[in-house]
Amino acid sequence: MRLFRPHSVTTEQLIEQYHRPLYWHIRRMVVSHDDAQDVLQETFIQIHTHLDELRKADSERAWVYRIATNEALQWLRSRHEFLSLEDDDASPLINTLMADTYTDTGDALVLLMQEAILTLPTMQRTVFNLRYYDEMPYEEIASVTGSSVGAAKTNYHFAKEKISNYILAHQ
Amino acid sequence: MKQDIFTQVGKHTPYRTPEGFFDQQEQTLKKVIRSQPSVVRPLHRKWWYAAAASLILIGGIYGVSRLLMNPSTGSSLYAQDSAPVYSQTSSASDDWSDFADADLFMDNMNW
Repeated sequence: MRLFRPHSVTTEQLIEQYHRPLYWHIRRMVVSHDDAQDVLQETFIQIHTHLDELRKADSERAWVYRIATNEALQWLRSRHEFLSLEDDDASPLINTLMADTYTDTGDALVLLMQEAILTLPTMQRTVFNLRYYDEMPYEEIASVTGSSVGAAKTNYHFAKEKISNYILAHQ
Repeated sequence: MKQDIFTQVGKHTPYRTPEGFFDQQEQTLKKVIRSQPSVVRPLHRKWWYAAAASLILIGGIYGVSRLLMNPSTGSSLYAQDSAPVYSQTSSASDDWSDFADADLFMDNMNW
């Protein structure tokens, strides 16, 4: 589905439309509220800088989410490099989840599910978040993650299985 | 049983934000974007703007030059000055004839 307005859209209009959903998407990726703010700001700077490329995109939403996802992944990589950890080591993120000022620890099951999500490999976690929370179609998820529709479906299926198993094992 | 976990939790997450965060964040982001240097768009994508601007410029130069070359064709701008111009030419006609004489003089010169 190609949009007809990319020629006229401004960064400020994109901020109005996407700053909330992008914040939540980034927050679920980087966990900390402060870090999510920084990554969100960097995301919109990148959007502003590359706004001309939006005309080539099939979907405006997939395009802005792709930039946000890339920024979040870049931030995670730099953090893992700083801590000398493997890319999919979830322990620092789980520690951040528990320590962040803006984490509600009141509901144990909600907290446990988020912990389970954080144990997923990065690609599975990204696909799960986009499908489950943002209710994005697989075609758009494939565009955001730069993978195929089949790969997105498989990643979502495995992610759900792992989350369920983790919760059952830790309840 | 496994489906029940997702049904039970739904889309709730433990993530929270400070009060009024999103309104403030929207304004902050707009300020940040306004402070960014303006993005230079590649010129080849705007070729039609350049072409249109060139045509307007050429048309403008042509129009102005026509008016300057032939003041009687047109505008009120020249109408005000027409009388002094004519009087100047009539008084200058002697000079023209002098110049013509000089021309003849030059023709008779052996270069």
